[in-house]
Amino acid sequence: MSYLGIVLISVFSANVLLVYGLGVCPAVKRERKSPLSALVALTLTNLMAALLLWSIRVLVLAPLGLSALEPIMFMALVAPLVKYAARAGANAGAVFAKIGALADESAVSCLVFGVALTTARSDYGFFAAVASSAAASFGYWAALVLLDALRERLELADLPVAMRGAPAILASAGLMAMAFMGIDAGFIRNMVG
Amino acid sequence: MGAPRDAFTPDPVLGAFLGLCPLVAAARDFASGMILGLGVALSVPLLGLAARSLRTMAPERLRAPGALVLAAGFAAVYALIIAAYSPLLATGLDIYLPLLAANCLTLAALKRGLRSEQEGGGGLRGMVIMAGFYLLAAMAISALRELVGLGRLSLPHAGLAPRVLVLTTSPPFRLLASPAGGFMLLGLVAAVYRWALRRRGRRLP
Repeated sequence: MSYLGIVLISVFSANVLLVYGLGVCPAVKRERKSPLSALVALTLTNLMAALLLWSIRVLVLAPLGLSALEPIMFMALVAPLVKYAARAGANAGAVFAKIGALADESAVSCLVFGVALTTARSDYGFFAAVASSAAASFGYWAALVLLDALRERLELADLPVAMRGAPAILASAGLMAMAFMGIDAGFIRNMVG
Repeated sequence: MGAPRDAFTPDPVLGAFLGLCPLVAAARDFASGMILGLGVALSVPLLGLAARSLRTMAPERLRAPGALVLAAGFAAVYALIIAAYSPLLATGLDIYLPLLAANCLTLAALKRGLRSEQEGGGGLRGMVIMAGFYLLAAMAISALRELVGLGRLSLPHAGLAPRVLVLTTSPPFRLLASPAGGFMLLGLVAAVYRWALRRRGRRLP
């Protein structure tokens, strides 16, 4: 598959938030906007975690038939390395402090582990894995931005008390998920190869 | 009931909105919902207890990484058990079995276990109640999704495939079996839950 196809599928028809349901809990409860620093932090964290787990799986676990050890490898090797890199980045200067702190915060989460697992378990080569994990981060961030915009509108809407807040966000996320899943992976493959 | 009322008790799914990822995407049939719910329900008290033991046994620098590795070990063993019990079910659950290691509730249980000094049986009781509620919510939501979305009910069954009870070949609302339907159903169930709480004069979560 072409890199463009991988990116489009990761952003739309296999969106990590709306289709895989990863990172739903913070997305439902969050009340702040999604700044660009969050996108950079998320992309760097996901890239590092996904590529490390991909390498460990391809070079060690799969040849030895030990794929069941993926979670242990992630928690014992990948997450500490990502956290270490994030903290080093945060101490490198004021510009990186916020990005490093965000990356450190999200290193151990179902979103980062989920993206790393889906990338590692795919049949992608190295550069396709890079494209896939970066696009997955962008897809998550884009979905968050859309949900934030919806949240603003919903705050002004005349909803029943029980439906206000998280229930309305979940129902809206369902409608968004329908739209994202409507962009079919087969259609993308036919269009861009 | 003297259990402390916080994010752990009594409604992690519909009140605190924690541990939603498996319920939204993977729990599209009863068997999957039950297996995932059971995984979280078992991991929370067990890992909470293990984290408490780590607090007394391990040096401070190693406690948090050690607790995470324990969670990963639990997820790996649970995935292997499910793969041996029902290989098709394990294949269908794909990444969601190893993901139990990073479930929000599991991580919250670890955090609570590592920092709990004053809690005796109350802390554990809170975790057990919460785990029970999570399991109930996972089973109810997945059963509803499968009944309405697929017109059938599947039960975990040792062997190649789950045992399936087909109720209708033309299900009324197929969307519920998809992640989009999972989001919508969860939102509606949460709204009904909040409405019921309000009617009984309880505070909305």
